[in-house]
Amino acid sequence: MTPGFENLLKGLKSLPGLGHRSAERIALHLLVEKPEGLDALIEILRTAGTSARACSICGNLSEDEKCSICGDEEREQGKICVVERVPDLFAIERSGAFRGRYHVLHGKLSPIRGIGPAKLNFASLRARIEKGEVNELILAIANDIEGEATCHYLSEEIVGDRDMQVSRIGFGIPSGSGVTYADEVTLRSALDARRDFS
Amino acid sequence: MRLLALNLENFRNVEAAGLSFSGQRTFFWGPNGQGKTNLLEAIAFAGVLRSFRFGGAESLVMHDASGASLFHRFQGDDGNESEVLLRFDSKGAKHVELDGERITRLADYVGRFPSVVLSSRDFRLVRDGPGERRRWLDVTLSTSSSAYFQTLRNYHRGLRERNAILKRGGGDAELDAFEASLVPAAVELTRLRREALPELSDLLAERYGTISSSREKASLGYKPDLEDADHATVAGRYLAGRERDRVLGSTRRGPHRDDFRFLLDSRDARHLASEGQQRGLVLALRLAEFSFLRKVCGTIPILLVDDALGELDAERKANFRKLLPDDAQVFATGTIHPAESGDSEAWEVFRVNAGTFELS
Repeated sequence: MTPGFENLLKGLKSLPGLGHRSAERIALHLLVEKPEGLDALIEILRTAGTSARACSICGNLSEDEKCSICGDEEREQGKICVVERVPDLFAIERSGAFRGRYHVLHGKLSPIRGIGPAKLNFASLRARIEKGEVNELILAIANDIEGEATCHYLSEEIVGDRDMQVSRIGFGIPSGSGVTYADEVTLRSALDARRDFS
Repeated sequence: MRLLALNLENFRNVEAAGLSFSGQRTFFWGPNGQGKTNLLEAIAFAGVLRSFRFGGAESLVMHDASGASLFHRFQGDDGNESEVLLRFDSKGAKHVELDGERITRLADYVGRFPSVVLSSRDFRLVRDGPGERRRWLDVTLSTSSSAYFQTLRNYHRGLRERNAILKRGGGDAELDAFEASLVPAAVELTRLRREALPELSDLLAERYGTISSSREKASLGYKPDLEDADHATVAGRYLAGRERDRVLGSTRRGPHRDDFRFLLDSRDARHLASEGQQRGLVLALRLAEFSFLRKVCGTIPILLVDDALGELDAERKANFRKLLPDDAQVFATGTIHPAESGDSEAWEVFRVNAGTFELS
């Protein structure tokens, strides 16, 4: 092994989801098997690294001050879907089920990991609400302990007494699946979230 | 349910071993410190995915090995076979496969392969502090109900987060946010324990009646830390405790401080009962656990007897054997070969020597 190869391996292994073997495969691919693609990749990384930033309004990935969603005048203005992370936003976008705007918190409250309210993107959400541009908040946040606490904090501390509709996405049986195989907790929340059918 | 085969790799002092069991009664025989209890521990692991012994997960893996694995083949009461594969690395991370499929939600798994451990150290359940009793109650009820398992997990997760806020000196808004889910979990946990204890208590009374020649009535008395069962009162208790908890840096009151007492004719057995009565009580508790799990899991648990007879005389041993349920598969350990101790049962005997096993 050469020092350069070893350095590359170390760098790759520090990325999330890459173990020793995958890192080795990628390093070999880049340096030995397909070296002709290397320059292009370096350029792509450099460009992405210098142009990418967080949208100043919602926290989404963006190349400008405003992301493409915040800048889209066609989308519903007052409806905001709050998500933990950018991939959650992508997932909802792919579903095509939501035509409002977003707010990305970049995590959820977890005191044990040292994540308090100051570390989350609450301030800009508060600013958006204070400007009066929000009339409905949809919380698309996990239903584990930390997610519950984050929702609670949002509704008590950020929304407070303001006259605004706040809802939380439903948790229940996956589409196309049956009741038999659902676990007790999922069934309970599915029953709690049942809807009028008539 | 029966265990047909067990393979171990780098598990505690066992480098590699493959054992298959033909009968209902298996005996691991050998001097102390050779690995007999490690085998029982390995069998019990398939049930609750944790050790019944103390100590960190890192000691589960043999010295110098990067990870350990266990493989179990079980036969259900209906004759169908299932295979469980468990892997742990030296940091304690677990990987569980059932019939070749990875288990990611432990709540779906617990209760499938129940076992009950009888050990000569069980008397600590009566004599020691509440921690051991709470642990026993939590493991037993988690094995029996995934709702209990989830509630317990949520409660402890919420508790850890609340304690982290207290240690950091975080604000009331953050405490509000986490107590909002901690309180329902606390109420539910207390309710589930209050509901299950009378059943365990009745089973204990019945078993104690057959073990002991005396006429006292044995029972279990639940001592919840928060007596009040309704949501508003419990929420008020956490709220009122904040200043004190901030000083302590942890949550002082709640179901994590619950306890139960062993009672003989409504007198606390911890201080008042004789040693013989205390041993009788824990034995009755284990047999009650067996009956309880058998009912709620819908399968016959495996009985693991860790040197439980070591200190008993011949007559008591004979009495004890009569208590072992006929249809349960039993694994026992001891330093004396069962044939030499005048045991009439047909044991399949493995000789255990420095982490190796040999059918004798």
